[in-house]
Amino acid sequence: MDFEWIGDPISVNEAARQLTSKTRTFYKTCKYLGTEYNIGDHVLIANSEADDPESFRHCYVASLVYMYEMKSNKKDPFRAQVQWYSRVEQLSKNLRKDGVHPPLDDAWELVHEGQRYKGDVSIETIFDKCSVLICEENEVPRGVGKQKKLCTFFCRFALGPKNSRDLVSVKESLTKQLADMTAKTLVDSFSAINQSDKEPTTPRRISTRSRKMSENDNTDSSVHPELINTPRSSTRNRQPSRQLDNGKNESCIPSASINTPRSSRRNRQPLLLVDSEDDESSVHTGPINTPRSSKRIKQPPRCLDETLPSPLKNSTFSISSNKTKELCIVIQRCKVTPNKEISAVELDQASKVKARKKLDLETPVTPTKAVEQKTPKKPKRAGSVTPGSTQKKRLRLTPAISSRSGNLTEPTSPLGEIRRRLHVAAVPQTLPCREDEFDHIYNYVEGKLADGIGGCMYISGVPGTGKTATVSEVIRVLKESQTEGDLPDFKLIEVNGMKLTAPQQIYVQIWNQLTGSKVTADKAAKLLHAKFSTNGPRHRPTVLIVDELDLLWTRQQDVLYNIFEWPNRPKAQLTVLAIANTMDLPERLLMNRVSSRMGLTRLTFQPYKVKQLQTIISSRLENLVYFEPEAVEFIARKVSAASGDARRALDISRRAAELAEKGSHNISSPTKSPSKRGAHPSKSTVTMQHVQAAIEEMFSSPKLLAIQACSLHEQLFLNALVQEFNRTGVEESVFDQVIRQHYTLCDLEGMSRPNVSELLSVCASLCSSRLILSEHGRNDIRQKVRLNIGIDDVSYALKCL
Amino acid sequence: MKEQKILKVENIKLINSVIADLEAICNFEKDYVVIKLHGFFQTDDRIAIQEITRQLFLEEETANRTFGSFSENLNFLLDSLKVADRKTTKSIIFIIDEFDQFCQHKNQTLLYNLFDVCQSAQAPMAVIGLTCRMDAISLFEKRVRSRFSHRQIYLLVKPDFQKYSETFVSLLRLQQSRELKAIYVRSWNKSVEDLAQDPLVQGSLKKVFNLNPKLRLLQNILLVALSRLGESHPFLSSKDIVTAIESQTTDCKTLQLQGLSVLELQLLLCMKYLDKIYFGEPCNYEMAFYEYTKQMKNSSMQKFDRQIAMKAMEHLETLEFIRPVEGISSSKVQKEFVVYHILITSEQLTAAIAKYPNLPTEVKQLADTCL
Repeated sequence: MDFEWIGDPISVNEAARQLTSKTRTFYKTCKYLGTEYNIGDHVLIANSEADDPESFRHCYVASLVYMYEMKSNKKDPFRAQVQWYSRVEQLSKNLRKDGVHPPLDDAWELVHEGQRYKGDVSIETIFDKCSVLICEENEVPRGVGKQKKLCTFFCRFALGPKNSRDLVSVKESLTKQLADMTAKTLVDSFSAINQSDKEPTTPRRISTRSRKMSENDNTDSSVHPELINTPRSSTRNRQPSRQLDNGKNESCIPSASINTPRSSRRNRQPLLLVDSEDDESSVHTGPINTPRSSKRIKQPPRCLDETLPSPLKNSTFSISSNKTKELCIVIQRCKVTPNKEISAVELDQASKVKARKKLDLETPVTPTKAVEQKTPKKPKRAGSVTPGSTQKKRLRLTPAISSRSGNLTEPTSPLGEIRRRLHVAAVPQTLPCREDEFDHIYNYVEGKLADGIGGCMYISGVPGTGKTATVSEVIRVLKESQTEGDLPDFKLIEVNGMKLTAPQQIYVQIWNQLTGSKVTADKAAKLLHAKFSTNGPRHRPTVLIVDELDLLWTRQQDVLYNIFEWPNRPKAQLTVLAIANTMDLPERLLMNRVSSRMGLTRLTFQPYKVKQLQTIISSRLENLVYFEPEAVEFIARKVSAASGDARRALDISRRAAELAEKGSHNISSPTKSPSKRGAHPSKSTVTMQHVQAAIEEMFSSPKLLAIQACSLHEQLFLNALVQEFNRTGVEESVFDQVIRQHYTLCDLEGMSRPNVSELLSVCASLCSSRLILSEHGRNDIRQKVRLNIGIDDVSYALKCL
Repeated sequence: MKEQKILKVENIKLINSVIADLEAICNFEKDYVVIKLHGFFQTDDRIAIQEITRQLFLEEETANRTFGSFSENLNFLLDSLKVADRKTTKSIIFIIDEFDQFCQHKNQTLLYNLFDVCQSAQAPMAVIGLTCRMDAISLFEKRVRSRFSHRQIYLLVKPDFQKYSETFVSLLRLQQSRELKAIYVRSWNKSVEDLAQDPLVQGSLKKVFNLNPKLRLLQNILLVALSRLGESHPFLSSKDIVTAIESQTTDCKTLQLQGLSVLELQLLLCMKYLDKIYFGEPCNYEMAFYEYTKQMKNSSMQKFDRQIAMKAMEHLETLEFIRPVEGISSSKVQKEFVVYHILITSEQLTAAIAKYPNLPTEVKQLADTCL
């Protein structure tokens, strides 16, 4: 083993030490594979999910916060707590899409992740050191890149508070983190919760998050409970006069620092506060900084390294109680700042772009390459062409459609408004009549996410019963509760079987949505296997929605097998929601080994009943009264009797509204519900008549009309076919036999007989509208012909003439 | 944001006139894009998607774009449509001619995706499908049908002979113009109206109308008739119309039969006879030749031997008057014993024999007995 600790174990603080004796020993320095790592160093961590785990393009960057040995963990005793940095291309899409920022596509740019993710990794995954420069927003440092085996990255931004879409300047964010933490305690202590509405959320989020994490974390990363425990124990144990061997203590995790102010709240003794802060001070950094004061919060720290990896690292707290009020004020100001920061970012955009250009010009050493980008609207594509990995320069079109010049006119008439609301595309605020199914899916996914395990659910139902709508609604609510901090962060992947050209393409899609990079199907399958079977250092739970599952069926069923196999792996944390039409798909189509993996969690969407359809339509109409309730009920009854397809119901009602609107324009139909029209001469109402007309228009069979629109000989030919069927009793007849019948009919009618070529063209014309079916015309008079419509239809249509 | 389906006849003309009207209302360049697809040109989804992308991004530099794989293109198109927003982007009008052909494509991927975009709040678009098939909707897969708006317009018109002859006149009528002498135009129009009243012409037109009332056939007939005009023959006569109609509607088999040799005709008569007595069962060369020798026993006509008759038989096969029965591979069977169906009706044979020049009377008598 190429690993050794250097120096004696260090104690972290009073509280941690209690637990430390049992499970873990903290160290300051270690040596692994010949490289010495100190706390605070920036390191490169192998990305086991990437194809080349130790390439500079794919590895993770983090700074060491703790290093410790866990005796209880036999397999992997040497562990580290890290603060992550994100690569630009690892950022989620909506962050990068944000037009506010200048393009962050630099190969050597990092984004500080703030408090979003805390990592607990094995030291063995660390493979090299690197350095990270912290810069101002509009500043791009020189000398980034790989020089003499040392990688230098730079970092300008940090992720904002959880799930906000903004990036904030890294310096300000680090300062704010500090402020937030202090704020919580102060807010608590002064019970000034009603200072502002938004304020309490931020600190609470921290606590809920850490609580969740402590619940989710397994034994090998049970740091958080201890840290959470810390404040209480420290309050209990600590004496104001107690001096710890603070010189050696380290604790750099922000959550650990929560305890500090809280302890101050409990005891409210300045001396203690100083003590606890002394605990946190780290040794190895040179100058001990000035006490954190309000002044410090206002100004972003000048020295970049000081603020990293954690805002508390190098600072010594000495906040006396008489300063607390002042601090509180400052914090209030900090609360307001995020907006300002955003605008600042907006303003700085131009200057940053300039700076970037400058960078390109000035530092030819850096391998930065401006990616071909036509509009800033296309971040995904731009991100996928990473300068490091692929050298091919390929012009890509923006996936966008040119914009229209004129503005759309909003519907003015009430019926126009009705039509807009009834369009299937209009997104309703609520999904009525699917509450039970919603709860079912929501509870299932939420449970899986909260427990950190995987599972899969099969959702079936005929088309138009709201399967996809319900699932996307569930996801929307889940995302909301995730924003509120009740749920761990998860990654959503949506795949539709219909939107794939081949079942194997699903791997490409999933991998693309996971990482944003494009690989071939085989490669993607391998990578996904690796991803779901190992617990990577930054593994987030994943929710995979597979729509139109039956299209993924292959003869080997390997695609389906894999999709249902992954959730069953212990480390995958993958939840699969599979949607398909048929209820018995697992039994009918799937092999036993696939359906067994699919499990028995099934949910069937019944076709909508009359009442439900009625509710759906009226919920869309809301307060608009231009739709007769009887008409709604009529639609509901018609549709539920046929298919229970909500789309159909909406289509009919929309068409009825259209007809009503048309009718009101030219009042040529005064017969239609004259009473209503008399009541509202200007506004028309959708009545039963309109609905009836719409239904007839949509569902009436055109065959009768089609027969009547045929030419005389075409009709005779159809008649001849009927006669031939009556003669032989066989549906299929040979053409030359039909000719005999046709000639007989002609003689009966006293018409001249058409020749064979003419009759063949008659037959072809009937065949093209599919009133009859015929064999290939190559067979000439020996081709077989049959009616494609009922014999009664033909007789009836011909009788009507 | 709806899809429609228009059936039958002159649908593309109608659509073109609608698009022209639309063009008059709103500025084409600014507000919408028309994308035209044809079921027989875009024979699979890959080509169709490339074509859509090409028409959609015509303004951008497509020259440098290398078309990637099918799935790449599909994803690209779907991304484009997803990015689009109802308020800001141009509307897209898809006109799909012969769209029933798209139903044959694998999984109906393109139709599903187009309808799905229509039904979800993505790019504003309308899909108009044109087909002549009555049962086109039943070709949709279940989930595609659910997404289809079921808006259908049928262009079905009951045939009306009065209108047909009016069309005949209006097609031929000349407009006053500078190049033409007014007096000629007047007399031409007069002659056309007289022609329409001519009972011979009316009878022939009625015949055509009963068979096929479509405008296209009428135009073809008139074109043939008009091409006979010249300086010596400045006005259409009823005879022109009648011969033109005949030229468009004659039976091609009868014409072809008149070019056969006497031996070939005799063989055909024999085969037709066998077909009649065996109730449509196929026959082979040996049977036909035996029948031929039987008939020729007492005849004064020249008798041909086997090889020559065989050659005649092969000739008949290449002209597709007879056709080997499907399912029996002709390579394994000796060619004398390959069984054939005869593809000529007795009416065609009778008509051909009546018109055949210098046919020996014995053959004529034979034909009377055979048919």
